[in-house]
Amino acid sequence: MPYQAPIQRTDPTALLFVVDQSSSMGDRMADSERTKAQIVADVLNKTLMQMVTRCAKADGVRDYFDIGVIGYGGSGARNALMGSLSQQILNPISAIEANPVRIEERRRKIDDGAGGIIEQTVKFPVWFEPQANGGTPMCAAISKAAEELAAWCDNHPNSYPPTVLHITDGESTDGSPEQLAEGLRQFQTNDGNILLLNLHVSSLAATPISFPANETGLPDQYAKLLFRMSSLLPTHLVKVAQEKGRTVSNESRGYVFNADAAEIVDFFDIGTRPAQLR
Amino acid sequence: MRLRIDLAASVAKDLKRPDLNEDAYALGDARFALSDGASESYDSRTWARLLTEAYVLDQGVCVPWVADRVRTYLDSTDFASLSWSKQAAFERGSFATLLGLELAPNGTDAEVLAIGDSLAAHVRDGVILDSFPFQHAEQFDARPRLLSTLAAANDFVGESNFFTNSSITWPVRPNDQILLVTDAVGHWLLAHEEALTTLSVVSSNEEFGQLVADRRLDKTMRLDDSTILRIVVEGDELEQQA
Repeated sequence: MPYQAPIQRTDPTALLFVVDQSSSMGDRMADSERTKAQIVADVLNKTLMQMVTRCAKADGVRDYFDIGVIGYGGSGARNALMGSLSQQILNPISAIEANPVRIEERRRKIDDGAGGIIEQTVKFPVWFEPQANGGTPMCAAISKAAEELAAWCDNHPNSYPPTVLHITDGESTDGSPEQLAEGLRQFQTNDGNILLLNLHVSSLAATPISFPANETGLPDQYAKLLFRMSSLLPTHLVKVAQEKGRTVSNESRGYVFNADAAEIVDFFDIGTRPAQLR
Repeated sequence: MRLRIDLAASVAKDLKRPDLNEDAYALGDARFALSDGASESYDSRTWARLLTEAYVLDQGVCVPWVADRVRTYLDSTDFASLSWSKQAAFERGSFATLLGLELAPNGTDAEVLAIGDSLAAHVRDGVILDSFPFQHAEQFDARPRLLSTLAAANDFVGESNFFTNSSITWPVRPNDQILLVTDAVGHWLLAHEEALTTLSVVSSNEEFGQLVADRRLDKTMRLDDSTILRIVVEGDELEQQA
């Protein structure tokens, strides 16, 4: 059975975020003052923080994950992380923990346990800044991801295979990415093929379609293309999605169409829960 | 009758890093406790130790008992001095099972308390008479309810059916054995007929370590911290002979 390798420091897994930074990502999200790029950046930073938190123990951060972010837009496809994290695409999570661009202090209101509300300052690390300019070189981004992860799979034969979370709002401007995506999904470890999950971010106030099992109901060729590019959800991710109240089956693909802010959060949460940490 | 510890052995999931073992146990004069600290926790090793050490001193697990342990845990950390990631992980909490055993005041019953997926097994003449909280290996696949350093996550301890669901009484006889094991060993014990015989002859931490390593290799035992307490029931006659 694939996708069952325990994730441990000797056999980490890889998570690669591939983020559309084209100019249309600067449009406002439906029912929001904020742009798609800002919301995606916020969710990505929060996801990285949560992943670091999952690996942080009293005696240090355990390297269960190698993590990278590829951004693509006006400057082509490139490493979207900065500082020492810009030297290589995939970095161990302890390096992610040690190298945020900055740590913001945000205020939050919490229950004081005695019927009142108090404000508390919490630290919010930032690694990834919102950007939106130029075209949508999706083929270049998928190729870069494949190049990076093929080498990673060679070096980690016993690991739970890498997961790619691809976030886009539009159509590729450098050709059809379908075959490249298929090529990416062919790379594997002994525990299974690379998982490619696609998220279509929308500025339309329309109902999202989450983890569909077929193309029926998808509105256009482009949505159908992203559906075909997406991996089948492995059994344990089907369970995670079901626990979140999603209607999914063993035929469901890792694809969300027309995602609003809440869908983006859920997509990241489901996509970053590979098997059991050991 | 009385209970006597016959074997206490524990093996870390990473054989090269026994210091990272998050299982804990405590051996009292008349009580024994085992705890499995969850991997995705900030400091489940400390939490598991706190729970087991407290149980052998006072077995009366109830809402104030758990609250006292949470307070002790929270007081042991200087939150403000932690890095952002440790603060966030600390706030996420630590989680652990608690499996406790003692001889009842009547001297003829063994009382087991089980929170989470650590397993107790009552053995007589080489046969498992009963096990608790699970009877089948598949039951280990469910997500267990654990004691937490987050007070709100322990509300279940105050539910009216807590003791009914979490405890069992076994009438015992001299030479009976009670095994207390963490989940990887428990799953293996319930899934494989030969496991009980194999566990019965283990006599040291080294032998247990070899057994666990072999079973991991043939993939019959899950990779996890693995701990066993083997307790023997001794009768008054045996006591006098000794």
